[in-house]
Formats: sequence, structure tokens, C-alpha cells
Amino acid sequence: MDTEVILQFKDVYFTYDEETQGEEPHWAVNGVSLEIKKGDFVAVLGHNGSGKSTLAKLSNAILIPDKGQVLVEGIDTSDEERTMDVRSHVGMVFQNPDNQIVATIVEEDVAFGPENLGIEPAEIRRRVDDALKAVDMYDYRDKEPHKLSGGQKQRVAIAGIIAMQPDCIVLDESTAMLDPKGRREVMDTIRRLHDDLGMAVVYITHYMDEAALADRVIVMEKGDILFDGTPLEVFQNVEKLRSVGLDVPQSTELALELGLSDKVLTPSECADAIIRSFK
Amino acid sequence: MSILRTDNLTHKYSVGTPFEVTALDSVSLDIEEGELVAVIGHTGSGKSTLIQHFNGLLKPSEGKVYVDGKDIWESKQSLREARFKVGLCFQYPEYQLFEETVYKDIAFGPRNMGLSDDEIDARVRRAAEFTGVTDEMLEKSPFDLSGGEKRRVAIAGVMAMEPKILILDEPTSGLDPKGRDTILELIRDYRERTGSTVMIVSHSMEDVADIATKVLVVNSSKIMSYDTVPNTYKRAAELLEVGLDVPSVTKIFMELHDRGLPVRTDIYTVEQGIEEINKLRLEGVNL
Repeated sequence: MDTEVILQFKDVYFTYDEETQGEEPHWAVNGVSLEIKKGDFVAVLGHNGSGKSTLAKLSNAILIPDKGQVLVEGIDTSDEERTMDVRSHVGMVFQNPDNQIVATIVEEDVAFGPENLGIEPAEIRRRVDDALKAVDMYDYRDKEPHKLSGGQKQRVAIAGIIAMQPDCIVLDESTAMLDPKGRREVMDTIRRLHDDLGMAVVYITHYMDEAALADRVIVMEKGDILFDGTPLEVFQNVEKLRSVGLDVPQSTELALELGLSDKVLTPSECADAIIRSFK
Repeated sequence: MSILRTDNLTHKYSVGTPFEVTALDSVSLDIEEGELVAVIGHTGSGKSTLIQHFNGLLKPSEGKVYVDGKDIWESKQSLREARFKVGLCFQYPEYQLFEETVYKDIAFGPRNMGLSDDEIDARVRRAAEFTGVTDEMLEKSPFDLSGGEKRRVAIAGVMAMEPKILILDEPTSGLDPKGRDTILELIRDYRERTGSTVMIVSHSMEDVADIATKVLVVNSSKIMSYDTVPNTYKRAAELLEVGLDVPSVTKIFMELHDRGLPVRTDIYTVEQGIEEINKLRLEGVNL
């Protein structure tokens, strides 16, 4: 196996149906194969019910495939004895900032993960400090989490994951409940972790402008992968994306509608293309 | 005529303690009947404090609130009237469903108003129709519905009180683009068919620009502007400065304008953008 691969889905099927009595169940994830490599920054798009959150939960043994295999650093997630190993490699941040903080002091919350991994106290201290600095929340280390804003709470949750030093962090709509400022804080933090620490990021979202910042975009539809490519490649498919209930970034759409360029993702790139067309 | 008015409304939290903050600072505002107002402001701007005054959930520290021309704090009677005239639907309302069936949940508000069973039934069915809640769903437990369905049931519960003013706090947050469009469409239809005044609180102007008739921008405990959608977007630079988002299309046209292209800057949809650029092309504009 390629040593650079962190996360591998091999023809994975998953259903929430309990009893199907011989009938074909409704597959929430329907035969997905994909690889996430070291240093990848992948956005996963899809409308509610497309299977994107199920995909996330399969990636660190919260859910186990009904058919096929999920491998984390070569470890099969169905091997119950190695669940903790799997989770130390792939960390997950959820949607609701209020549902994932367990301690009454910020730094104790961040220490919760590494403590459960049985790490030495001195090492935990170092990791907690480093993690809080990485998400720019070090100054808040002795504060009470419930007094923080949504964006700050999500950054604390992310610090809790980083302190376990995973190879990959999966964010399941972690900005959906935040205001624009909180969203920006979290996006900037993620981008920095990826660029500075080389952490692989799987970013599940339905904000197209956030997906445009990724290196690779996967679009889920009916439990299967509809598109997998760079943001530029994927967002060319305006009509198809609309038909599955998604948007494309306004900048991309405007440039395409004006027949200008198929290489536009951001407002500046779109303005550039328009200015050029008037010269 | 104005359906909702505030006169020098000031609200302070934790008065008399070292943590005293002024959340609203002498706000005077007039909202005409039948408008669809988008209320925009970032977290901590005072927008939630403001809307909680409209149906008497919060009492002004100073100043007055008038609903339908009546000072709501004048008497117990006027406060009770305001609570029925102004329907408030909170953020993530699906967490507030509690009844055994969807029908009972939607009927809860009208029942509290002391209406007859026939009238309650008529209202539940009207509200269900507005929100696309099917007869089959009415008999289900609210906890067996999907997230998007729960959200619509919760909104139906407020609509069933048939308030003259319907206020929704972040009705589309956490929804995917399709779910968001469904909710916004049903709100627009509701207003068109009932003539009610509607206010939608949002972080994102991009979402509400299409359906709003007016935009109320709240910043630093004050009203920064209350104007039509295009007029609000003309001030996009100021909005960005106070930490609010404007649509990507608006950013593109601001930049084009700054770089010398003679374009309007009150553009906020892709369609308007295409039209504006095509106009320049026809005029043979050259840089």
C-alpha cells in the first residue's frame, strides 16, 4: 500500500436501515471508493441526506461499513480492538459548538483527548499549549468555555483534536452554526493547520465559497461520489450541481455566464477576467 | 401606516453591576405594514435584543415600543395583545417541538389564544399548507421527521397564530442551499398571500436579498441603516467594514468600479451582474 495514503475507502456501503427482510436497503453510502493522502485538503459537498456526514462518521470508526472496508493508516476500522488507534489518527470536529465541549476550563477541555490516549502529563501540558497557540486561543486557556463565542468554541474543539496529533482532521459542517466572523476564524485556522503542520483536512460543508478554498472537491449525491476534482473542474458543472440542490460560487457563475473564463473561483479573479475583456 | 415603532429605545443588560452593557442605544425606528424586512447584523450587534422587544420578551430600559400604534407596556392587556400580534420564531426552532403529534404542536399556539376547536383546526390546516406539511405528517410524532421538516413544522406553529407581524430569527441557518430556498420561498408566499409584515434576521444578506423589500442594518447597538435592498448595497464598503458579509457579486462590482469600469455598485444578484456587463458591452465601453 502507498505509504502516503492516510485514509482509504474500499467499495464502502452503509445503511441506517435495521431490518430489511431480504429487500435491498436504502444505502446512505453506496459503494464509495476514495483515498485521502498526506497533506490533502479536501472539501466534501452535498445536500442534506446525500451521505456526506455518514462518510465522515465512517472515517474514524464512529460508524463501521456494512460492506467494504475503511482503512486508516492501514488499520481496518472494523477491528474493535484498534478503535482508539484509528481515532488517534483521524480526529473529528462536529457541527454544534455546544455539544462537544466537556470540561469547565478551556485547557482542561483540550487535554481531555490526550489524557484518554494515556500520554505523560508533561507531554500533555506541552501539547495543550501548542494546540491552543495553533488555533490562536492560548490567551483564553483559563477561561470558561460557555463564555466564548461560537467561533472560539469551535477553535477550542479543533485544539482538542490537534492535541491528539492526528494525521487527518475531519470537520463535519463545523461552520454551519457560526456567523460570518466565526466562519472566517475557523476557515483561517484550518487553512493554517494544513499549510503549517501539513495536516490532511477533510472539510464537509455546503458553503460553496469555503469549498472553493480547498485543493480538491468531492460532491456526494445519493450516497455516491458525483464529482471528484479540483474546485475549478468541479464548479464548471453549473447545471448539474444545481440539479442536485447545490450552488456554484457566484464569481464562477458570473464569469461562465459572460463567456469569459473557466478559471474563476474568487471575486478578484472574476473582476480580473471582466477588466481584461474590456481592454 | 407604521405597524411597528420604537421611540428612543434603549436596553441595558446587568444594570447596576460592573458588567452593565448597553445593547441598544436610543433606537428610533418605523416599520410600515406589509414590508418584508431583512434584519442584518453580526453577533453582538444588538439585533436579537431589538427583536425581543417587539413582542415584549424584553422590557426597554428607556424609551417606548409601539405595535399597531399601541404602547405595548401601557397595560397588561396591551402586552398580551402584542404577544399575539407579533409572532417570534427563534433560531433552531426544531429543538422546541415537544408535542405527541405534529398537529398538536402546530395547534399549541392557537389553543393558548383561546380559540374555538373549529378555528384552531382551520388555522392548523392553513399553516400546514403554507409550510408544505402534509396530512400524513400532521399525524406523525415531530421526532420522526427530518431536520428540514421539523423546521417547517416549527414555523407553521408560529404562522398558525396568524400574527400581523411574523419575525423569524435565522430561519435558514444550518440548511443546505435547497432547504434554504424552500424556507425563503414559503416565507415570501406567506407574506404575499396574507399581507403580513415579516422580518427575517440573518447574518447573510446574500440569502435574503432576493426576497426582502427593506434591509435594517444593526451595528454597535444602533441602526446603521434602514433602506431598500439596492440602496443598502450601495454602502457595501461600509457593511464590510463593520464585519458584515456582502454577496460575492457585490464585491466584484465594487472592485470593477474601483478599477475604473463605469459600473453600478448596487448589484447583488448574478442576473443583475450579467445585465450590467452586457449593457457596457453594447455601449462599447473600452478601458
